[in-house]
Amino acid sequence: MDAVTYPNDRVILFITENMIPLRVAFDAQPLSADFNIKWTPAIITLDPDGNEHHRTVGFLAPQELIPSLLLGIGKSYFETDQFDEAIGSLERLLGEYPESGSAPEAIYLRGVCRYKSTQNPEPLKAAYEQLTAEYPSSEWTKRAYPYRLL
Amino acid sequence: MESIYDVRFRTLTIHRGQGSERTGKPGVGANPALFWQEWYDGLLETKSEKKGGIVMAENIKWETEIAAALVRARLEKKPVLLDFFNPG
Repeated sequence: MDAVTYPNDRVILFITENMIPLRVAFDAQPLSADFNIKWTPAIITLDPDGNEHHRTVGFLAPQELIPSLLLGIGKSYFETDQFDEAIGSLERLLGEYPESGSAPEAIYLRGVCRYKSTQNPEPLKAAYEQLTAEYPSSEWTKRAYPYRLL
Repeated sequence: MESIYDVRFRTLTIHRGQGSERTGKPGVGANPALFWQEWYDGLLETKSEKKGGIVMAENIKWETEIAAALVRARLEKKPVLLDFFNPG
């Protein structure tokens, strides 16, 4: 991460504008035990109260780290019932990084956010149809499978 | 105009022991981290040439204490990126 991803201009700009970067050694206590760190790099998205919403383990290239962080931000908003803000982060992810590994989960979660904010089930079915068309082998396509019946 | 392949060839040459003309550093041998850092530096150098000589990269300003990071997160209304790393 230090040699390739963190020196990247777009990564630096994204993190500086959108997040508070915090870095600690894998064995720093009590944080390491609190977050059950067993392998590095472990990159976790926390809300301002310190609650975890997203985690990845292992190297991520710049074009994967930024969408992963956008997904984390989206999940942070989703899990605190801020659905419009969550949809904004997920839309940005899907608009700028549709080829990333985070995209299928973002489509799934965007559908859920739209449903939660409107109580209209149609976005869930739309998410399934988009996942089936664009990411047929994704695990998120399988998770959305029941929504085909809506 | 120097291509990405030229930059990579140049850094590969550096790592065969000739050292870096740009930094004046000696070759870094088989250290993969230094190899990729030099490779990335080469990209930056090429990008800076395209931008008229201005290197855009700066370092990420990391917090090192979670309490300070959470205070900033509340003030700036931003989530925290917590990176557990192995300092080697």
